[in-house]
Amino acid sequence: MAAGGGGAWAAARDKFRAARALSRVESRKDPATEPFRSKYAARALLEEVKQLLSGAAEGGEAVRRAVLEYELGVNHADTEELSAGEEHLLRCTRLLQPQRLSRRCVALYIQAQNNLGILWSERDEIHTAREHLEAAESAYQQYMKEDGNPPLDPSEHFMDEEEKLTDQERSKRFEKAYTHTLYYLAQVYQHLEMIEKAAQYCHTTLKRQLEFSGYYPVEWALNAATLSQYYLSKQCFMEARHCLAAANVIFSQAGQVPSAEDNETEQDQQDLRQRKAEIARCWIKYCLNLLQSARKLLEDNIGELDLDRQLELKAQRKKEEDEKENGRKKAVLFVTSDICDSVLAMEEKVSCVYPLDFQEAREIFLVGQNYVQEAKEFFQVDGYVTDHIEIVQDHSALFKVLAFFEEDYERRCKMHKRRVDMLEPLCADLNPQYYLLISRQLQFELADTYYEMMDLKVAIGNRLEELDPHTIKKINSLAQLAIKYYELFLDSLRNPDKVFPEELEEDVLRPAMVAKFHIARLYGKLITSDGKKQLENMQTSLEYYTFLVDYCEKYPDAVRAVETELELSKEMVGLLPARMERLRAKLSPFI
Amino acid sequence: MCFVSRESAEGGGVIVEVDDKVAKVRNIKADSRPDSTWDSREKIVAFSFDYCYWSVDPEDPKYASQEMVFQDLGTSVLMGAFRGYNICLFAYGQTGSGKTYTMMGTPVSCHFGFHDRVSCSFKACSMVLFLEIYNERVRDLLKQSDHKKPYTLRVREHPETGPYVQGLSQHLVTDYKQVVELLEKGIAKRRQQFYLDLAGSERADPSYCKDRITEGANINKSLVTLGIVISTLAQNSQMFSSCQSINTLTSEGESSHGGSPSSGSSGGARRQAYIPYRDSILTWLLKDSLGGNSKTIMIATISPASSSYNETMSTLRYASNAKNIINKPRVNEDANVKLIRELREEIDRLKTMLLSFELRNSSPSWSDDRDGNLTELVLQNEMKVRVICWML
Repeated sequence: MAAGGGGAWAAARDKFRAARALSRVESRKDPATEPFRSKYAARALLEEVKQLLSGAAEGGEAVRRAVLEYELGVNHADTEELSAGEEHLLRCTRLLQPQRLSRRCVALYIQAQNNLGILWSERDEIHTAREHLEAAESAYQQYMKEDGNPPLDPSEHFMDEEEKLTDQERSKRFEKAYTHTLYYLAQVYQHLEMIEKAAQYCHTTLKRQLEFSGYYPVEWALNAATLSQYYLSKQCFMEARHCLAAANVIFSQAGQVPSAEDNETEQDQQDLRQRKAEIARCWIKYCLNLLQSARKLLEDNIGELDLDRQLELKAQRKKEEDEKENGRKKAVLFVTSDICDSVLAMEEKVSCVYPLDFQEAREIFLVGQNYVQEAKEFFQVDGYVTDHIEIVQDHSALFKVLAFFEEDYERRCKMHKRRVDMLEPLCADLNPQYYLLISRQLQFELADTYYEMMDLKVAIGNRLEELDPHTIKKINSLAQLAIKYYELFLDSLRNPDKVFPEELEEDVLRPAMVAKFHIARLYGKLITSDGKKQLENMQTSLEYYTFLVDYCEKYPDAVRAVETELELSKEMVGLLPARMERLRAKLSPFI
Repeated sequence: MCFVSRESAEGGGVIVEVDDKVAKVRNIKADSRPDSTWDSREKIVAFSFDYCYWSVDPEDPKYASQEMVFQDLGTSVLMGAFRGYNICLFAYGQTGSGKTYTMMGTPVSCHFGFHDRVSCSFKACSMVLFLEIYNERVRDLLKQSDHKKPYTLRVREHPETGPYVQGLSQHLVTDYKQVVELLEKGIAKRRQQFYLDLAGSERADPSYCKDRITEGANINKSLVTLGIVISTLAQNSQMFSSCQSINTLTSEGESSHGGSPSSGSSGGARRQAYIPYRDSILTWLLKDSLGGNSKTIMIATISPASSSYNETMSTLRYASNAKNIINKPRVNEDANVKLIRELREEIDRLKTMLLSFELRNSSPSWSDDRDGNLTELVLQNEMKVRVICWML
């Protein structure tokens, strides 16, 4: 080794090692009062090494000096001396510049650029951070293209020949540094709101963690499952499913590998069960989003299944089936050989194309429902109220969207009944003092669901020759239940003195007005043979419509939130009195 | 609100300025660079609050005294409590920025207050609980833990009795002196233990972390994990993609759809995605207490010193985002769309009917309105009424 005199080299090597040990191990034990004690000690040693080297090997050994500058740069950055840190790191990259793509330098160059990237991001100068990280990225790519052999790890420049690392270890460290580059870039792109690019880099980071075994299974699985939620928002169902399937497969490793995670403590077991339930919840959202997106494609302007559209989409799908395979090959996939088959098998359990009829929708629904059960096993209502209810709300939403695909009104109505059955007991047991907002959501959803059921019963009734008393009773009781829940919602807005607020808060303005509006409509729909009763219902209906009109007159800012509802309410306020007049006239023809 | 305190002001230059209800922070990392290529443009970030107090120098005309803060906030807390609202007052901020002082005052000016890292609440004015949330771990400050290992508690929810900290000790108090004693005991316990965050390169390792989920709002250096990056990504894309639910980051957004029903047909579900990373425990505890019949006052305490730049920024960011963590009720727009369509039809029917009624009214024979073409114009309801009449 051209390391100058043996004694000086040995001293330099030992000091360098001691500095690294201080910096990486000892510093963790530093007391809070002196958080940087070991770092400062390490810095002093590094400066000494620098002196030793400048004396011994004059101007030669640029790489070794670059390593020192790198260590000093990181050291200063760690002790929050960013400017000094930056100077050292820049000196490092300058020294490396001519041979940055050589086997001896490329790893160090990438790490220096990584650290410059971190440094600039701490200064909130994201654009500069990005430049450094992209420099690291392109150095890696160029090196792999031109050379590709495992390069030297920076620490090797202070090792004796016999201590040098194996190619395997070199490669591992080099790839790890590059994984960091991609991961930092993911963050930088996110800050720059380049969301798609950020997602792509997150995805690649996950993939590389898998390839180079740098991950904890549970953590990895959860990250992949979370990434699926990003893909859902982009309607990329194939990618979302792939992430979720890989999450399931990797998660199942967690139980098998006897690692640090296998502490067997109750807490750990519980954490593990929680993670599993969380992944299940990501699956629920997948099924739900796929069904809801399909619904959006298939519905006509009154929210019913558009049969022409259905045929059209089915034909289109046939055509696209061949192209699909190609699309799959283009996406970034987690296909390391050993998990590839399990992931594929997992993917096959649920479709990633839009369901176009009830059968297809039902299959996705059932998968979603299974995950609902799995998630509920952990997130029980006692202890996890909010989570539990959110899961049940998803379950209800699954039924709701499935009902869209169901042609038979009776069966459709039964699906909504299932929703009511799962939501009603939750709503009843919930203390609104602590869960006011969730309890309002439940009230509103229950009211809407009863409304929906009533509508279906009316539709069924209209198909009959004659409306039988049973159906009428059913319609009325459903309408009353819908009213009940809208009223409960409105009651929840009352202040502690039980007075309905004069002026509504902005966040409840629209829901409150819509509730009033729906109640008005419901009173108009109640069926009665009793003319007097009917007059009463019309009067109540009129009062609710009047509320909207009066409120908006008093608070003109509210108009914005309920334009259509207000327009119709005004019409009804104009029409109903005349209508009632006429009914009155009819009821007492002799007056 | 935001509260700039005197403590630790000596750590470098002052970088915070308070201007009425706005707190401005200067980025010292940007302008302290010696590098000559730097264009020396200053970066100032402004945060608006309901109140901002400057309590650095008593000589300053802007100086906000303890009494002033109490007049503004303390009295409204008490009034609210008397009126039957759930009240929550808490302080949030870095160590030494004056949380305890703000809450407790000096021993002479005794106004009670609670929460945050140092949290304490009164149940029916007689129970004191004192807990610390630090790095997402919850610790009982009034209970001796026998183990060396810090004892962390779980936050749970009960459907009837609400959120609670499992195993948190409760202490009965009858007067203010006892409260102070307990608080002092708790504060003393707090000092026994330090958690030191790992800094340096590990902080940004994608594989690092395990259960140390930390967000920008946390007091110490944030450990960024891949999990956090991905969950932020998923959350952001929710915001960008679904214009229906603009404010749904943590809430169920009832957004600004200006009453146009046609825009609403897509908004069936609530949250479109599930993001497994929990809100911070603090956010989570606050989520429900910020809405409805409760009044919450958050006091963000910061140091004006340049050495506290990072902590100050994250505290202020958290504080200004706190407003957005409220869950909001939302309207199921597709049900509404259907209703509106039906009502429009009914209005048309009514109009036609009433119009023809008027016409008939002017003609000599109108009594036979049960027959003839009018029947078709009669309300659906009315038809049904008749059906029943015939059947009965």
